Amino acid sequence: MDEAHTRALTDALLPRYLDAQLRGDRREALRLVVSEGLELGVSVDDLFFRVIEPAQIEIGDRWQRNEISIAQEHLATAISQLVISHLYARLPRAAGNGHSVLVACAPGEHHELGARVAADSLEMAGFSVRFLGANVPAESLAALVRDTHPDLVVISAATSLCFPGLRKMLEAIRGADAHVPVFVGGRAFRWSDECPVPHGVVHAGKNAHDLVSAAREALAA
Amino acid sequence: MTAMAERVATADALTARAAELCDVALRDMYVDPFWEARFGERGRRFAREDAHFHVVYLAEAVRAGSAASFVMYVRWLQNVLTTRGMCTLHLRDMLEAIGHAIRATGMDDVETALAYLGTGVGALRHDGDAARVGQLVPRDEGDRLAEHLVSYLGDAVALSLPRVFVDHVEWLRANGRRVGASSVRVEQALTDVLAALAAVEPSVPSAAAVVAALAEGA
Repeated sequence: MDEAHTRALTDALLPRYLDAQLRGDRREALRLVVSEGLELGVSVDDLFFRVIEPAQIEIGDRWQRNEISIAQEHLATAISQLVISHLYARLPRAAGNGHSVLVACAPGEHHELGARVAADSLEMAGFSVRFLGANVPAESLAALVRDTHPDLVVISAATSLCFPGLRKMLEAIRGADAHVPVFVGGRAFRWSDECPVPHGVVHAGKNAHDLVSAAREALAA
Repeated sequence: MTAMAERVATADALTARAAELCDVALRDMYVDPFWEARFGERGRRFAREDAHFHVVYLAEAVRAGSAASFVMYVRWLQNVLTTRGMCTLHLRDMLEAIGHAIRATGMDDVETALAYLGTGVGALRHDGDAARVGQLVPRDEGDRLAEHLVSYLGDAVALSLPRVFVDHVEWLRANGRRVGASSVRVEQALTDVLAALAAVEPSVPSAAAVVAALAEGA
């Protein structure tokens, strides 16, 4: 499918998907993404970054402007969680590159959608991924690093409020494995080019595509 | 101590003493009966929570050596709060109260933190029409009643939400006495602000919608 056709389909899907989210219509949101996206040839990647992500950003903006409540924001986000879970079963996966990655949200970080998309994007690129989700305790993640010896750890944080917990998590990881590369990403690092990146870790870039490129480069994958 | 080590030490101290700083800032703010009367117990609870967030964001900015993340946070928060019944001036008051608290606690090496707070306060501005409204000067400097009205008016224009201003006026008319303002004084302050607004029209045409909504509400 050429770019213009893809763009036309995703541009048409976005407002309808957003509308289904705001109505709390899970079935319609899923139908749109699968029947009018995936089955018409739109890639999972394009559905992630041209439909679901911009819809979530719009949901966040509407909450910020007090146009929707926290409950409505949760309702909409739960729908995207459901849709992404369905897409997981149909991820196009590159051949395995033999590298394993742990993806987790920092302690206190409850926004896991971005980390989930990052995990799925890494998996599409051929990485073997373990995804731990929101608000992972530092010591618990470190224990998993110790037990499973991943080639890379990726930690997501949406706000600076999580940075104290993130630093503890980084210390715990270093206690478990002094050398494993650690990437950080998420909205907290996108607010400004001058946002702080803790010492000894790598900023994974502004989106999941940047993360995949950085992971390939770091692991020569 | 290197500049970076100094910043880290200050950030650690701010985080460690966040609860104390919030206590001092809120104690000083709530000397003014306006806060309790306007936002009640729920407001006090949220103010405590917000103050803690402000200090943590400030500490992280200091640690990073850049005010950028704090400025982004403050601008984001301005939008969140002004669409939920607070005005920009209230946020500025709280940031300044935290600055006073930092000074009052006698912490070392807080110049950077205070400078970043100042940068955050400076970022609480509007553009265009709302900026012109925000520059309306109350007749008596330090007249909080009028300053609040001007701030709510500027936010209403910036957000294109007349209700933001009208709600505050309605609250003042119903509760002015609780903050020591007679109905005569409330109406006088409102008249003064609207007169100042009229003086800058038609350079602020969008403010006309707010004035019309107020007349409709009345």
